[in-house]
Amino acid sequence: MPSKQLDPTQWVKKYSDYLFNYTITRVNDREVAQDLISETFLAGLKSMKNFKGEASERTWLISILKRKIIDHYRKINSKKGKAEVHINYRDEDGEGEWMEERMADPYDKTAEDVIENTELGDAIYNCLAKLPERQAEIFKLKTIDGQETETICNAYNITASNLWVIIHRARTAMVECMEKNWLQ
Amino acid sequence: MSFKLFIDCDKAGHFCDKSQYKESSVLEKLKLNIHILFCRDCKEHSKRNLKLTRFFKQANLQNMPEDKKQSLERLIDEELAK
Ligand SMILES: [Zn+2]
Repeated sequence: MPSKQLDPTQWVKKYSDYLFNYTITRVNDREVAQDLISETFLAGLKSMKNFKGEASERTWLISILKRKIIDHYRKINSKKGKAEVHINYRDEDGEGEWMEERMADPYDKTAEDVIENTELGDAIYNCLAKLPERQAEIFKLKTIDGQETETICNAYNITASNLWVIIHRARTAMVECMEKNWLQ
Repeated sequence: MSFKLFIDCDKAGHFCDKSQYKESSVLEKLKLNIHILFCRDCKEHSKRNLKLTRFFKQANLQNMPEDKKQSLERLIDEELAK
């Protein structure tokens, strides 16, 4: 079975939470985050033929998203750049003159840092991605969405004790994964 | 009425999981606490389990809202149909 193939019909189900959280911790705006993810999926669809299967689907999508986030920062940056021209009066050698000074832009560095830093939320989602799919879904509903045990049991047609076994396995795996990937 | 104050490690693990979601009863918490007085493994496990809960709280994870997911699904379907 070829493991590295693209299946866009599963993208939302598999990756939207992870991508949304990733984006929102970096742009701090739900609407912008939503737009960037739409753009990411569209760009992904358009360049599907370029997918060589060397990276996983998830890694591939996140690399597209990273470029979108950097572009977003650049846009803010260029608007900011124009706004942050300061006019200073210089009179060092007696010949005073008005100078236009462009402020060093704080965004270039920030964008890179912001992209590359692994945030706690990313570490959690990276670990979640390693769980078996159904286990991850159930664990997320319970732990992130805070859904009632009964609601989840009905949705998945399982008993409460089934649910707790799944939660226990997920938590045990998550604890181990986080200990490896998040030093704290 | 059977009233067992002493529980095995499986039960302790289960009560510990439930308490991460604030779903354990007072009695279950009591039994768990008695158990971990005597069981190092479960004490350690409880500590790590609680840490995981704290990570989730601290990360304040934000899942994509359901309606947004649906509109994204539609967007992808439309693109694929082209
Ligand atoms: Zn024990």
